[in-house]
Amino acid sequence: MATPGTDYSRIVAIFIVPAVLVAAIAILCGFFAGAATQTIVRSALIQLIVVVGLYIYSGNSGIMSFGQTSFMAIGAYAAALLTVPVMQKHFLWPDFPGAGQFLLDVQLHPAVAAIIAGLFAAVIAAIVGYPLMKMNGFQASIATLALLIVINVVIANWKSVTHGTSTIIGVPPIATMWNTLFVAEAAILIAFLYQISGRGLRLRAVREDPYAASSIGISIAFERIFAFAISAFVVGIAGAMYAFSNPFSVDTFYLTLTFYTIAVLVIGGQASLWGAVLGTTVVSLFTQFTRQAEAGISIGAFNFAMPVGTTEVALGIAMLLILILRPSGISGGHEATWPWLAWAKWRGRNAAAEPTPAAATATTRAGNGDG
Amino acid sequence: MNVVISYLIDAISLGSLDALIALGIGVVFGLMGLVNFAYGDVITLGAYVLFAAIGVFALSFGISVVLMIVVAVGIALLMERVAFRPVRHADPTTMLITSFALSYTIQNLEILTVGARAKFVALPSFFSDYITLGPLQIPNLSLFVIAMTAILLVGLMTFLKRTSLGIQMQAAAADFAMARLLGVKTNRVIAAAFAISGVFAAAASFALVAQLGQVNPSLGLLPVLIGFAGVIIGGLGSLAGATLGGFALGFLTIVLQAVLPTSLSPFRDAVLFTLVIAFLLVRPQGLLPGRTTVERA
Repeated sequence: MATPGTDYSRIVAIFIVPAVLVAAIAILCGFFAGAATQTIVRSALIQLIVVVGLYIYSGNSGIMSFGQTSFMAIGAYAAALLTVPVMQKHFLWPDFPGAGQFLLDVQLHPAVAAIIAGLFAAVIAAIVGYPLMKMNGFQASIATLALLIVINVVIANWKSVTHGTSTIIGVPPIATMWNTLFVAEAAILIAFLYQISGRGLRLRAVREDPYAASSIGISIAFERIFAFAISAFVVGIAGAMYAFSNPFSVDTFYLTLTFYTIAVLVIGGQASLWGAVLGTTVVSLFTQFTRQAEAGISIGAFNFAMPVGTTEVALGIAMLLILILRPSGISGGHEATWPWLAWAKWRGRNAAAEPTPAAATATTRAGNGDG
Repeated sequence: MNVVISYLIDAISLGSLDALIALGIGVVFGLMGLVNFAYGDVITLGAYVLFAAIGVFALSFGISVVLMIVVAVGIALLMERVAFRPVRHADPTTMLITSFALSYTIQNLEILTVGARAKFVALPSFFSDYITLGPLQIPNLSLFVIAMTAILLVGLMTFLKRTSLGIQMQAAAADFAMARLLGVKTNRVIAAAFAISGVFAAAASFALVAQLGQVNPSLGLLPVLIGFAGVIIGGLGSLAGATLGGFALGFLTIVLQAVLPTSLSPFRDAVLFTLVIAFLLVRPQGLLPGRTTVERA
């Protein structure tokens, strides 16, 4: 870490730039938009936490996981069990299994409940991750899809604890745009700290070359399980935030949400934190626009409405186009840099089109000067 | 005894259906390493064609079925051309995600155009009748599915063993680079694999519609997940494995239905997919492994 010549400013930018972007959008909406917009921003922020959570594992390991949504489900159910008022609990869970009866007599502060929900998801992830992480990349991806199905079936049928496919009610709706923003920033910070830590770097080494990485003594399985558990922790907390903002049922956390999350990460670029944040921002703005269009846009005297479902079709097509034309996503797998550096680089690239020595030196100087 | 025989017929029939679906996935995977999630949507679209032909345009049953097969094959080929050919050289996970995106797009297009509500399809009463053999009542549909699967399996075997294109496909599945050097045309063999998967999808689609009497945008979802499990259990990249895996799943489903206590029977799919994970872990090559690792040209 403390190698001489490390450009700390550039490392810090990996966190600050996305964090500021997210905060700026939320604060703008917070001060200038109405309650309805704030609810939309809150949903987008919860989605951001899930995408960042998925990125922690899939981005750093290079293995796509289809199973992260099930940790969101686990987090949501755990948070519900911990926060529904005691009086309602006995009424809502009459057949709760004997060993867990004590849970019916506790009601925790939502923040504590969210953290416990995240930890619970992380523990489950570490346990199921143990066999999964011994597989190679493609098999592990398929196994996570199988895991998603298994957990969905278990939740849908373990009626005494989960109410089967019915909607869970009674969870205190305490999530606001502001506290969700706080959690989202924390998720970005966790992702950032993980990826610059020794652990994160080791997992990235495995992603780039598993043979070389294991030859210098990196335990592939362990690094993957560790990232899988951190990812599940963040996603589990996203599940808790979801529970604090919407009624949910088991099908909330199934293939549609899994697809949406993966689509957002792939569109943004799965190999970088910037990709996760940029993807969520772009896709959220885009879906917001198309949802408005579905509701109807008035242009002069004409009222023009797109059929409901256009959003989903457009999202699917956008993802296909990205996969075919630019598989590394909008971010191209690059991390965020300070805007002035990005600007200088962009100018430098344009100048490089007509290669003159003067232009080249100028951009180098600009690049160093501001760093 | 009668109970055992009727369970056995159920198992063979369900196993046949699962094998059909698994083969449609397996034939493409063996050649290009793609687990085609959108295969379920070929099944769904085939069912919609049947619905439109019989229910809306009132075409005769025979013409409707032919139309359904033609459209299913056409859609499978179109998918290959539009979505999968550009990502053919990507890693298997990217291809899997591509098929996911394709599936999501198609399902939402269906919701957009036809609607999410189920459409009812009326087939000739033959498919809902029973034949009575002494004390046994056997649904015609079960026998039909078993016969259809047998015919398709024999047809596929003949195609692979006796025709030039079939032999080229086998060669390409064994070693794509070498096959290409010997003059096998990549696009042709891959298109052939998709066409075959289209035929199997149409067959599976017909069986599903006959069973359920209706079609909705997620008709193909559960079948494709089951077929996908069958392919992994049987052996990714091996057609014999996919067939065996499909039958194994069908039998397992019926056995679990018969053996599991009623309170646990809803967990059947959880057991099946835990088995998938176990297979990936302990025997990733499946029951009958494919000959080589996957290589694409």
